[in-house]
Amino acid sequence: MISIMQSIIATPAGQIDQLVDIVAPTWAQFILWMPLISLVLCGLCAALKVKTKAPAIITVISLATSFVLTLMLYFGYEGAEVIHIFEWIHVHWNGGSFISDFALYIDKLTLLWMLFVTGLGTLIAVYASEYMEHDVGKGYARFFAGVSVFLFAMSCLVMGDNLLMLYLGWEGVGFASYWLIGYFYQRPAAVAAAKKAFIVNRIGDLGLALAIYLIWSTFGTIQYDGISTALAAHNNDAATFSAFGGWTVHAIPYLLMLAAFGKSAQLPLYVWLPDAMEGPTPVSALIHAATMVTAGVYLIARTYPLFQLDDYALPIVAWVGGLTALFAATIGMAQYDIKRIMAYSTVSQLGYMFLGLGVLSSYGAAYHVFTHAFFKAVLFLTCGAIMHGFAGQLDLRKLSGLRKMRGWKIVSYTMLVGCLCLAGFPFTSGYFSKDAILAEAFVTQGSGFEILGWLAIFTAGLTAYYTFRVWFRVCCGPEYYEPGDELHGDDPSSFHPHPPRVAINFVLIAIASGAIIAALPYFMDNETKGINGGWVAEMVHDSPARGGVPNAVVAVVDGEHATAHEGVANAVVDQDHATHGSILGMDPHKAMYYISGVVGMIGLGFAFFFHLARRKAADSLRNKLLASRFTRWLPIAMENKWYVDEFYIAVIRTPLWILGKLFALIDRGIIDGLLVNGIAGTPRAIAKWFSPLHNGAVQSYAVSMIGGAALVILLMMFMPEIMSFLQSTMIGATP
Amino acid sequence: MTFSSHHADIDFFSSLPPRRTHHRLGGFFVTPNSQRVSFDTIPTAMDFTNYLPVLLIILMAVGFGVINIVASGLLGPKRSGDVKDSVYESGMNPIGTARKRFNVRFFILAMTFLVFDIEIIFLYPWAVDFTQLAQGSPEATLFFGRILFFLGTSIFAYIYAWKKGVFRWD
Amino acid sequence: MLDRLWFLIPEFILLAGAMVCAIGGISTFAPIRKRVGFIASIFLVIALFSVPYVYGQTDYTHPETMLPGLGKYIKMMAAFVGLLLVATSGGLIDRGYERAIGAGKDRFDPLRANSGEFHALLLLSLTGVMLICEARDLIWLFLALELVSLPTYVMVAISRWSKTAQEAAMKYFFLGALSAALMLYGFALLYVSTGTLVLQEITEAFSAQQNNGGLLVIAQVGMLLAIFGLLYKIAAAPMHLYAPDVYQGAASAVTAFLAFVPKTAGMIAIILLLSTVGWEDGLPPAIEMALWVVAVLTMILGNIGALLQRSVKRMLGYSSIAHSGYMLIGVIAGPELGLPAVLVYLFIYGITNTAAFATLASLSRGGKRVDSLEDIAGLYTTSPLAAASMSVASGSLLGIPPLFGFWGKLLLFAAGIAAGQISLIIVAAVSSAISAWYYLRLIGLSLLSNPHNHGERTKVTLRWPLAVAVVGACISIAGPLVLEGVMVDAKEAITLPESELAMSLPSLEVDDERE
Repeated sequence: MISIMQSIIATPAGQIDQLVDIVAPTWAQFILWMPLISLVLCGLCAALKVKTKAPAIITVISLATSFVLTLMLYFGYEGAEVIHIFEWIHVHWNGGSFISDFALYIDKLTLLWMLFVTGLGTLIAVYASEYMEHDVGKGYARFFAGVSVFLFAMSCLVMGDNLLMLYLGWEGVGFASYWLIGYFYQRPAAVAAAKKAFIVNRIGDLGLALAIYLIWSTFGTIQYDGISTALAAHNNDAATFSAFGGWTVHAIPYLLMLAAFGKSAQLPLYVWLPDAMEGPTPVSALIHAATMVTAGVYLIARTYPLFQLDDYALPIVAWVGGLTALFAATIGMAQYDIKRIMAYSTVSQLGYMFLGLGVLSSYGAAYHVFTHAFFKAVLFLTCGAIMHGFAGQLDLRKLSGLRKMRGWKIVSYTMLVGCLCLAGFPFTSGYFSKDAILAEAFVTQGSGFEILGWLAIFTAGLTAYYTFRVWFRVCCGPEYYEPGDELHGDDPSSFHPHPPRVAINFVLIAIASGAIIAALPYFMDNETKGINGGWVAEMVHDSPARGGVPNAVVAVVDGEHATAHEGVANAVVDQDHATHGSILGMDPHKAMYYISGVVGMIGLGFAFFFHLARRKAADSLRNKLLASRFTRWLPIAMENKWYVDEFYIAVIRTPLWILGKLFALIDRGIIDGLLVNGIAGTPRAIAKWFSPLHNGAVQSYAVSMIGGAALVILLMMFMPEIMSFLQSTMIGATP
Repeated sequence: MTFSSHHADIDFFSSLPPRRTHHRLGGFFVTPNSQRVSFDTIPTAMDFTNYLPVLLIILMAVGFGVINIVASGLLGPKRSGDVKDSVYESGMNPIGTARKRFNVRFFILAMTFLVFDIEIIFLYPWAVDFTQLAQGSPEATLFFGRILFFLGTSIFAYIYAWKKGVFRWD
Repeated sequence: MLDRLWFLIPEFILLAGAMVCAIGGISTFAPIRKRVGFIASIFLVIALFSVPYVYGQTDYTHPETMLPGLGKYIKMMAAFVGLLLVATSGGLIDRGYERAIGAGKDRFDPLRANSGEFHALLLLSLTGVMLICEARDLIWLFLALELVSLPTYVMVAISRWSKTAQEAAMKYFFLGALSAALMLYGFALLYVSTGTLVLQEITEAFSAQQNNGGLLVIAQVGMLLAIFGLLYKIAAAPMHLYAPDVYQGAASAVTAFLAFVPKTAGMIAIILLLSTVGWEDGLPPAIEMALWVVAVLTMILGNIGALLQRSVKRMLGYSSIAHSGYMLIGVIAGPELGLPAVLVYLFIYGITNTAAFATLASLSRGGKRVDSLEDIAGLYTTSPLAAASMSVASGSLLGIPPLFGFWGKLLLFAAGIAAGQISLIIVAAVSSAISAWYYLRLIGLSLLSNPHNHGERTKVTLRWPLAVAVVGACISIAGPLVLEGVMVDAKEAITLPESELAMSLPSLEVDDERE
C-alpha cells in the first residue's frame, strides 16, 4: 500500500513520456485551449458585469482561431499521430499501470469531427451574438461561457488520445448541455428539461465508465494506440481474446452502446432530447443537433474494432438506430411545435447514423453526421429566427406565408435548403449521405438488415413529409401570424414581427451554403486507392472505423489482403459474404438513387397536398381518424409521443420514487437515527463527559496538567511491574 | 509493542554514568578552547560536594535576614505608639483591603531598574575575566564582542523605554 | 565560534527587525508608525532569502548540533509562515487608535501604541523558533524555547482590548510557566543522569547506558518530564487544557500565531531531545509508550472536544490539539519516514491553519470580531472569497484528497504504518473521521446554509487577512505540486549525523538529477 502511495507521490515528476514526438504540431493543443481561454475571459466578463457584447466577440474570436488551427492541422496532415500535452494520470504498481496522458490523437476521423465542430461552433456563436442580445449584461457572458465549456469538452472528447479524455469530454459536454438547457433558469420547464437531460445521460455515462474500466482490465490500456495494437496482435478475433478475460470483450460493446444511445438520444434513452429544446435555439442547433449528439456516433466509430468482437453488437446498433428513426419520425409527424419537430427529426436522423454504423457503413454514418450537422443547424437556426421574430411563436398552425413577408426571405429560403437536404431531395447533400446508409443496409447481409432497409426507406418518406409539412405551413400560403407569448410587455394587437438582421442572416446563408456544398465530398476523389465513397470515406478510412468503408484493406489474414468489409462481415454475418446483397434484383448502390428519390418525392407530395394545396384536408383526415374507433389511437398516440414519457414515469420513475421514499425512511430512521447519530452522538457524549475539565479555572487546569503528566510518567515507569502484576492476577501463578 | 523489562531490575541510582574528565556547562557561555574558564573541571552532577557554593549562598541569604532582625531587635531603640507598632509597608497604609491596586508605573520603574541591575551583575564578572585574556587574541575580541552585543541590547531597551515614555510620571 | 555566528545570520536579521519595529512603533512620525507591519515583513523577507544563502556557503562548517540540516528547513518555514502571520495581523493592532489620531480625536501617546511591540515580539518569537534549530545544549534549548513563549504571552494580551484576552494571557502565562518548570526539572534530571548539558554528549552518554543494560531510570524520567513540558508548547494532552481558552481569548491573528509558532518550536525541541536517545533500536519502551498514550489522548480529546463547540476559534483550537496528535505519530515513527513527515506536516498545517484563522480575522459582524458558528453561516452571500478560502482551509485541515492537508496526513499515516504503529493509525483514522463532523460543518455553514436572519450580516472588514486567507487557500490547492520538493527538503533536514541513517527515504525515488 505504501509503495502505491509513494508511486502516486513520485509520479508527478516522473520521466518524460516516450510518446512525445518532437515533430508533432504541438500548437494543435490550442484548439483545445482557445475555448478554455474564452471561458476564463467570459467568466471575467460575468464577474466584472460587462454590459457589452464583449463575451460574444471573445468567444467568436477564440472559436474561429480553433477552427483555423483545425484547418491548418487538416492541410498539414501526414498521418495519425499523438500530440502529448502533459502527463495526467500515471499510476504504477507491481505488474500493472494506469496511464492516461493529456494528449491528443489526431487522425482523419478526429479532423472530420473537429472541422464541423469548430466551424459550426464559430458560426453559431456569431448567430448567438445577435440572438441573445436581449440578455446583454445579464446572462450574456454566462451563455458564451457555457458555449466555451462545451467547445472545450467537445474538443477533449473528439481529440483525446485515450478513453479517459473522451470520458472527460463526455461528462463535460453533458455538463455544458445541462448548463445551457437550463439557461433560462427562471422557467421551470427549462430546469426540468436540464435535469432530465442530465439524469438520462447519466445512465449512458454509467455504461461508458464501466466500458472504460473493462477495456482497461481487458487490454491493459485505455489509449487508442494501445488498444489497436492489442487488437492487431489478436487479429481482431474475439476467440483469441479469451486470454483477455473472456466475457469482457463481449460486454464492452454493449456498454459502449449504452453510452452512445444515451448521448445520441436513441431508443430507449431519447426522451431527453426533445425536451432539451427548452434551451436557447443556438444551443439546440449547436449542441442538440449538430455536434454533441453525434458524440455517440463518434464513440462507436472510434471503437469500431471493439464492436466487431461480438457477433450481435453491430446488428443491435443497426436495429436500435432503424427503429429509433422510424419511431421518432412518426412522433415528428404529429407535432405542431416546429422546434420540437426538428428535435424529433434529429432523433430520427441520429437513428439513421446508428443504422449506418450497424450495417457496416461507418463512412455513411460519418457522412450523414457531417451533412446533418449543416442542414439541421440551419433548420434550427431558422426556427430560432422565427421564434425570435414572432415573440416565441413556434406553432406551425399560427404562422403562414413567411416567404412573402418583408425581411423573412433569407430565413424562408435557407429553411428550404435545410428542408430539401433533410427530406433527401435528389442531389442535395442529405440525399447522398442517406443513400449511402440505405444502400449499405441492403448490401451488408445480416440479421434482418433487408427489413431494416425497407423500414428506413419508409422513414425517409415520412421524413420528407414532416419536413415539408413545416416548410409549406410556415413559409408558404397566405400571410398570417399570431405572436407568441414572449411579448416583453408589447401589446399583442400592435405586434410587428422583427426580422433578423445581419449576423443571423449571414450565418444562415453561410450554413445553408455549407449544407449545399456538403454534397460535393461525395464526388471528390479518394487518395486511397480501392475504396468507394468520396472524401468522407477517405477521412473515415484513416481511422479505426475503416471497417465500415467499402473495399478498405484492414488486415492481413493468412497472407491475403482481406477487405475490411469481409473482415468485419466474418464477425457479423454468418452467410456467404462473397455475394453482394441486392435490392429488388438491382445493385443497391445504384437502385437507391432512384428509390429514395422517389420515396422522398412521394412524402413531399403528401406534404404539398395536406399543407399547402388543401390545408383543410389535413384536419379532416385527422378528424376522420379520430372519429373511427379503430384508428383514433393513432393520431392521439403520435401527438402524445407514443406516451413514452408517461410510460417511463409509470414504470421507472414511480417505482424508483417509492423505493426512494422507502430508503429515505430507512435512512432517516435506522441509518441516520441509529447508526449515524449514534456514532456521531457517542463522541459528543464523551465530549460532554470531558467538558467539566474545561471549567476555565487556571488552578484546575494546572492540576489536571501536572496530574496527567505525573500519571502517565508513573504509569510508564512502572509499566513492567504493572504488566507482570496483571499477568499474575489474570493468568494465575502459572510460569 | 512489547515491554522488555530490562530496566526494571536497575536501582534508581545504582549505575552512575562514567566519570568524565572534561565536562562543559553549555557551549554558549563558555568558550570551549578558552583556558581561562574554570567551569571546565566540574565533576559529575551526582557529586554533592559540588553543590557546596549553593548551600553557602542559601546560608548567606538566610543569615542576612536573621542577622538583620536579630541585630535590629538588639540594637534599635524601643519606643512604642500606634504608628510605631503598626506593620511597615513601604509608606503604604497597612490597614485596609489587601486587593488594592498599585499604579502600574511602580512596576514599569522596577523593570527598568532591573535592566541596569542585570547589566551590572553581568558586567562585573566579565570585567574580571576579560583582564586575564591575552590582549588582541581572538578570544579577547570575541569576548569583547559579546559584551558589546549584550550592552547593545540593554541600551536598546533603555532607548525604547525612554521613547515609550515610562520615565514620565504624570 | 564564528562558524556558529554565521549560521545565526537569519536570527540576527530578525532581531534587528524586532528592534526597528519596537522603536518604529512609537515613532511620532505616523507613516512609519502605521507601517510597522510592513517593516517587519521586509525583515522577514530578508531573513527568508538569507537562509538559502547562509546554508549554501561551504566556507563554514556547521556546528555540532543534533540535526545540522534542520535549521535550513525550519528557518525558511518560520520566515515564510511568519510573513503570512504578519499580514494576518495587518490592520489588527492600533487600528482604531490610529484612526482616532488621524481624525484629530485623540493625541498620540507612545504608551498606548502597541503595534510596534506587537510586531517586535512576533519577530522575537520567530527568532526563538529559529534558534531552537541551532541548539547544541539544553540551556540554549531552554532559552530559545522561552524566547518563543514569552513574547506570545504579551501578544495575547495586547492583541485585543477585552477582558477575555487578558484572561487568556494570564492563563497562558501561568500555565506556561508551570510547564517550563516541568521541562526544566526534566532537563535537570537529564543533567543528573548524564553529567552534561551538551546534546551530543548526552547522546554519547545514553548510548553508553544503552550498551550497559539500558537507559537509566532517572534519564527516562528526565526525558519524559522534559517532553511533557514541551507538550504544553504543542498543546498535546494532558498539557492541552489551556489551548481552547487561550485560542478563543486571543485575537484571530494571534491565535493563528499560537497555533503554529509554539507548536513548531515544541515539535522541534521534542525531536531534538528524542534524537539524543535515537530511534535506531526503537525508542525506550517507556518513552515510546508514553508518547503513544499522549498521541492517542491528544487525537481523541482534540477531535471530540471540537464537536461541542459553538465558537469557531475554540473549535479550531481543539483541532489544533488534534493535529499535534497526528504529528506525534510521526515523532514515534522515527527519522526515516516519520520526522520528515512531521516537518512537511508542520509546513502544511501552518499554512492551512493560518488561512483558516486569517479568514476569521478578516471578518466582522456588527463591528465585532467574528467568533461563533452563527457568524459564519451563509458567509458566501456577503463574501464568497472568504467563504471559499474558509472551506478550502477546513477541507485541507480535514484532509480531503486533492488538497495539501491530505498529503500531509497521508505521509504521517504512511510513516506510522511503516513503523508498525497500526493501533495508532487506527485511532488516528477514527478520530480523523470524527473530525470530519466539525470541519464539514464549517464548510457547510459557510458555503451552503443561509445567513441568520437576526442581526447584521458578517462582512469582510480587513483586507490583509483576507489576502492571506486566499493565498493560504491557493497554496492548499496548488501545494501538492511542490509537495515533492518540500519532502526532499524535509528529508535533508532530518539527517542524524552520528547514527549513519540513510539520508533519504529509501523507498522514495527522488530524481537526483533535478537537484
